[in-house]
Amino acid sequence: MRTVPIALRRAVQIIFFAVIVRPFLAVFMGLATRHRQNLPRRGPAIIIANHNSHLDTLSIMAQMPLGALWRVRPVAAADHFKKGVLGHIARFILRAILIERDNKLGVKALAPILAALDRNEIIIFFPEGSRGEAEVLARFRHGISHLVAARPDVPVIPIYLHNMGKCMPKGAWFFVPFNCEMIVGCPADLTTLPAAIVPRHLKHLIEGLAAETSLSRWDSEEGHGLGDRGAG
Amino acid sequence: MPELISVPLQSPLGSVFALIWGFLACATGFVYATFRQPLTNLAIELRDRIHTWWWIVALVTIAMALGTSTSILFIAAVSFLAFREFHSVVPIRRADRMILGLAYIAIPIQYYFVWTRWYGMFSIFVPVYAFTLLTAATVFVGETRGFIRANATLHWALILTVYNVSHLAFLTVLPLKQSFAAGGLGLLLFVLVVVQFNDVAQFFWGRLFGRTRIVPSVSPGKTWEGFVGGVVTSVLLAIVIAPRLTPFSSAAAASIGVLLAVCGFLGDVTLSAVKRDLGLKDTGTSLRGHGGILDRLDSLTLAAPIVFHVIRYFYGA
Repeated sequence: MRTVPIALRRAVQIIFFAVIVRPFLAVFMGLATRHRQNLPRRGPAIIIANHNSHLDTLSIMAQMPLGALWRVRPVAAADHFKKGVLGHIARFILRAILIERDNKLGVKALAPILAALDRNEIIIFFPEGSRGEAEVLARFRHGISHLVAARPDVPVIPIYLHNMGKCMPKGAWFFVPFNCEMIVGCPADLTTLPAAIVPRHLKHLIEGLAAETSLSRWDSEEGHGLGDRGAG
Repeated sequence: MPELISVPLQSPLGSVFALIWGFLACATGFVYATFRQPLTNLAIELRDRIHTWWWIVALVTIAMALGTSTSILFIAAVSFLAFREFHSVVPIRRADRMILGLAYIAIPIQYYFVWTRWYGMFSIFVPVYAFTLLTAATVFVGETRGFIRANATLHWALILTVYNVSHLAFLTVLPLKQSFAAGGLGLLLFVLVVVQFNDVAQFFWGRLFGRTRIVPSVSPGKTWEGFVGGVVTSVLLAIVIAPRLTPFSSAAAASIGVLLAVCGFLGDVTLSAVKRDLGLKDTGTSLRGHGGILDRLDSLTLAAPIVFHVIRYFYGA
């Protein structure tokens, strides 16, 4: 795979998004984006989002201009994406940065992300660490505070994704169409925050964005997820 | 070159489409001419609405110009979008994700029966087969908490957005006692134009003369003055376009015009009640100025099957 010329890989990536991903998102997920102007146009930047589905990464990347796509690097778990069809798509088309989810490695595991930021790339990072339960926001881990501490000048853009976890949650073997929404927040101001507070603060920002959606949550689960649009 | 324009214009459908495009152009000109800076919220909404109307009219024109099959496909797509939109704003149980996935399969099946002109299956598939299978499947999912509401919601939505709306498509293939120039597409266009124009007319008359509210707790904007204005306008419009699109006499066109205006109103307020229940203003954001697909389709959801059966009873073969 190393021998595939970059121009060809870029072409494959652009065709994949223009011909497959974007039409799919439009037809089957009716993806609507709010505050698209907040999306970063150039790196370095860190996009963080809630994570419920493999569709999350595709949805965010599909909103980026095709010309800028090559510089967008989603961060993915090495244990999950090293092999298989998904792994190939993640590594060779989405250009995912694989990191080890091993606590023993500590901050060192984040080194490839910092290197990418230093190359002015745009990182997509899911602070929950895994997709978790569909459409439920889990605790944010501390990886993000290490990134912010190491590169304090890099803007962090929070994004709230709604309903992707209904369309295709973890463990599902078939897709169900739902209208989906992506709400892009303003770059977060983290300069004065102690590192320990950063994950909670970012989670709070994403919860704030979540309040903007008018799409429904799961029935009869008030107080379980975000917002309170449960049973009427 | 002149033939390219004059032939479609002389055809019955073409002449009505010319009327619609002309009307839309006049409305656009009028709205833009009366704009004063800075734009009020109403002006912005009107502008967005008209902008979206151009898209809707363009898509409908293309679908119908290409023939019956593309018209059926177009309505099937609208059904799909409406059904999806409904289940995106109404909360569903986590356990019902699979049931909803199954319910989507009913859409191509229902429209397949339209396409093959299989009237028997078309008229019972959703209330008999889809109802039985989906209900049984819900039982085997095993979640009894919220069972009644989950089933009621699913089947109500399926009837409203798939079964009812598919009657618009069957109008295009309905066998009739006597043939007429515009054919089934004429019937479809007649229903679409009268119901949608009734919406616009009700809005227009309501804003001009609206005083007495009809159901203030559901839809504060709906007034008797607007409703009556809408009915009268729809009847006049129905009488004017019926000879080009349908086999209806003037009296029949007027009666069907009343029926469409009343059912259109009922569908409109029904979806208003749904939105009230959910605490929403619109069901979606896909049609700028209008809201979602259902915000535009609402008035057709109850009118379509009723007018279909009236037409079938009096004119069907």
